[in-house]
Amino acid sequence: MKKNQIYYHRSHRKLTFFWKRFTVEFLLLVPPSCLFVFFLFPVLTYKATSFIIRFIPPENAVSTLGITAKPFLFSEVYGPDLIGKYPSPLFSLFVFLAAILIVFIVSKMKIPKPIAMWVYFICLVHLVSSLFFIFLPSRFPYNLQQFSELFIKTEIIIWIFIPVVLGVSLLPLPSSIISKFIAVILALIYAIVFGLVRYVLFVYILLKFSYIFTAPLFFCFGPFIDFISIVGVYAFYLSLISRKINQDLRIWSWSY
Amino acid sequence: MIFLLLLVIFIFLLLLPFISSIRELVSPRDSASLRIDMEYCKDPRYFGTSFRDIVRKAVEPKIKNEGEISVKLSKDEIVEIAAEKSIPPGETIDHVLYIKDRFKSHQHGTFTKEIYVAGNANVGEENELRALAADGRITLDRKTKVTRWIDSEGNIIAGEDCDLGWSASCGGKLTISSGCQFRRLYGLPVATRERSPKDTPSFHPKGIEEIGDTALVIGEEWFILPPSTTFDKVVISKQNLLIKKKCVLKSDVKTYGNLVLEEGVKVAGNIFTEGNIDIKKSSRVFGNVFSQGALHIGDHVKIGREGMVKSVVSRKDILLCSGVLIFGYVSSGSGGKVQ
Amino acid sequence: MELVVLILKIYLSLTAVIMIVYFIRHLLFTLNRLFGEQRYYYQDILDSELPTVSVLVPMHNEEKVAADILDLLISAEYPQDKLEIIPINDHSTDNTKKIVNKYARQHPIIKPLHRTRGKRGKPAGLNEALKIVTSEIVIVFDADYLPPKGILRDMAVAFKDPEVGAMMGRVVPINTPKNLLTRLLDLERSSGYQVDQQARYNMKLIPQYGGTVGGFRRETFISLGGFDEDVLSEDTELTYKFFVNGWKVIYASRVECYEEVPEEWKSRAGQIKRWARGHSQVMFKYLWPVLKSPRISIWEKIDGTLLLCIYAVPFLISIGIAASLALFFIGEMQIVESIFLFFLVVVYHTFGNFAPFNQIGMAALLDGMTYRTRLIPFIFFVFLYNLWNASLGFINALVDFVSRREVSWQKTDRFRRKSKGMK
Repeated sequence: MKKNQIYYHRSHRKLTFFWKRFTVEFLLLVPPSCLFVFFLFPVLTYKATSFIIRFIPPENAVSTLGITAKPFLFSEVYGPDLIGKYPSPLFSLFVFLAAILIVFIVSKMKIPKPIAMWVYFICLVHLVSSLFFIFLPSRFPYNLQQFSELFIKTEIIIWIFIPVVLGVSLLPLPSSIISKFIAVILALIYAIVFGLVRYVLFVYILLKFSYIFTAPLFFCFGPFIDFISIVGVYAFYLSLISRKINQDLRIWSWSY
Repeated sequence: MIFLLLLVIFIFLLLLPFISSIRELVSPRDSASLRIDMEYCKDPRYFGTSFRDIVRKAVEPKIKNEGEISVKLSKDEIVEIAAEKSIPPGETIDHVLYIKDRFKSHQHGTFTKEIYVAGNANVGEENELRALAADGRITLDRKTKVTRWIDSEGNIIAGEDCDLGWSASCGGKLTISSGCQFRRLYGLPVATRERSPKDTPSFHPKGIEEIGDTALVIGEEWFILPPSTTFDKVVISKQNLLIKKKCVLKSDVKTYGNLVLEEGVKVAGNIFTEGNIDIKKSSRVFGNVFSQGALHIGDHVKIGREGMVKSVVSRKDILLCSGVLIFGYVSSGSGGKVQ
Repeated sequence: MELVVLILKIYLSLTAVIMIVYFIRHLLFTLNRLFGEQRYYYQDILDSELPTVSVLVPMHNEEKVAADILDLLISAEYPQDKLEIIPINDHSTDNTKKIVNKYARQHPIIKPLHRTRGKRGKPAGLNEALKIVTSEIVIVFDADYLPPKGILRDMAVAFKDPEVGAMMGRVVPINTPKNLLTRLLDLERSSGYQVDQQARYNMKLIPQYGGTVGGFRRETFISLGGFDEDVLSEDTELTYKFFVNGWKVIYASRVECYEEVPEEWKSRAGQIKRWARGHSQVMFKYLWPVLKSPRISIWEKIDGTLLLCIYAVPFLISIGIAASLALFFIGEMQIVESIFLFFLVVVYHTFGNFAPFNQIGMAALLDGMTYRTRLIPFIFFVFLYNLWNASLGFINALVDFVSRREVSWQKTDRFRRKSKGMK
């Protein structure tokens, strides 16, 4: 006769911990993914920099057109050898006023407050940056080469961390190592592609529109949003696993 | 052109992780509030009560004669109506039974659906039942296995080595024999049959420090009350607690370790432990017994008192010895056994 | 300038350390809830000798919801001779008084308390009610709650344990489907109760009494001084009051009750500000007593301290972002400092209940939620919003502490369209 299980309430649910399995999964998920980034970043940065050099219109280039290599993590990271432009005082003032105007307009609009907060934050960074360029333009500490180096090195470190954070988060889930591996790789590929696209776009913006946008780009669209790759993949993956578990409650242990 | 292309790609990639989120927001597939049963009340006889309610509402209006009818219980079921029923040995019944008077099953019967009996139910040796509700008495012969539950308005007597499934409950006395296994029991009282004395595993302390038998000992691991002590305050121990013979504790006892009540101890209040509990023979607890660990109840221990409902709850296993009386409810997280 | 840079870098480092500590704390909670032994609550104890109970329901302008909760409480399964229900009509200007009096006329166990004088607010109302209550146990529900039939018994039975001073059940949003805010709050509540509270109960740390779906020993609490009427978070204050005096607060995952969560962002902002302010008031009051109390274990002290300081962290992080910006313009933004920005979002992307995304995910898994977990990325958008409101609340609490100003109570808005009984 079929064993008819009566299941406990959800407050008693738990999973069984398998030391060996989790250790093996961690070793299969995390170090290979980190090493993948570790060995690939020189090629990736070189390709991205080559793309920038090739497609930047000549009139935007102020000085030499070249690729620089800087030592990083026992290898080299490549960046464009370019000098961008400083904003004129008028342009800085324009950005300052535009930021204030946007804050004013958004405060009058009926949009969800969290979205408004992000707009305020972006405008705040623009305000700070524009004030800096109005009063202390010569003290701006980054040229394009230095900024792109800072940005891309930060991104590389984040790429190495993504498999760690996501891998550790996925480990407890009762699912196959292959699906977890696919999830980590997808998140990594997304982060790398998105990171490189941002890298190229940021260089282009700074060349075309001046250094006034350095801080806003870095603080609003830089490391802050790399988190999205982890959470997006995690949330979607979790929804698939959860649906599977709900169809078979035998996966649960109870109380201990 | 390049800039626009990059911008479009950037925006697309920025929104990409949110696509499934936006979909769920716009067209929700899982937005209902977590379900809470607003009518939920802890009822030790829930299965029997609920089943009788369903059967009475669904079956009784349709009873004309004996025989089989099709009825919607929790789903469509065939229900056999009979005045009395006697099941021959080795028979398998795959439909619900509604018996207006007595029910008897000989040995090795198998019942894959629920049984309702308005009178007494006698279940022979080595039967396998899914669930049984009887308004009269239930008797289970040895080695009968219940997959889900049994409930009686009267008394229940379970023979040796029965498996009582998820719940065995009754409005009268629930008597269980040696070798019986259970998860939840309810009876007024729950009683284990007398048998010859056996050695039982014990949590008796090892390596404790004792300074004679007249001292209150506060050791590194054990707190020991000497024999025949009377204590009228609440006792809370952060260590293991050993209460020696014939102590009387007039209030509650709580310990963060293990608890051993030696022979003849009386506790007027409730007992709570984070560890295991070992109640040795002839001890008496008037309140509830609750353990986050395992529970051994020795010979002739009484828990609760007549006319009141008290509980014995253990997160892990429960071992009941001979001649135990528990007035009320017994619940074991991992399963209980009668020695 | 070098000194400024050094201070900023040290500040960022310290903030990063604090975030890592909280991250580890939440990771341990998640792992414990998922894999550890789950400590039983006492709902399996059936006892015919139940304590006397007074159910207090603070009400200020609750005409939309009052009848619903009273309907449910009068049909609760609890010995009627051991139960009284005390709606506390606290300076209401709508029909609350009329509704409450109507119920009192029909049901003798309802004994309203009408407050028209004295300080307004939940702590003051509860204190006044405690003066007239004689029961052993006091149970509190907010007016918008919908208690199931058997909940009073399940709550009262906790006090059979002689060490329990207070208990807290689980809160479940009923208006989850309403909009994105309610759905995100549903995830947040799930994480806070299914994982956080239960893990703290498992690990014998400090589960929190939440001020509603909770109960406490009346005499004991009065002997400890009752509610501080100048503290907005009377629930957190009760938790610490009990703990520093050697009592325990326990959590009951199985004891569930519906509540209404805010449906508008403005209302939610007010809620976060009030919680942050009230909680931080308790931090100023109890940080030292927690650290020096001889009645709390070292682990309870650590967790108690971390819990107390939890609403200070958004403020610290806000300063951290400003410090990063300063370092950037000074030209001292190195990779380490920029990684800080990534980490602070990974570790602390939501401040409603301070749960990292994986804690929310595991809670959703345990609760059997499926597609709604796909909303978790949206929590990213409320990061700044929560950071801002929590920081404001903390700053208010700091000013309260320094200036000793009087605090006035603010209630969360109700959204139920009309009062109706639960079927």
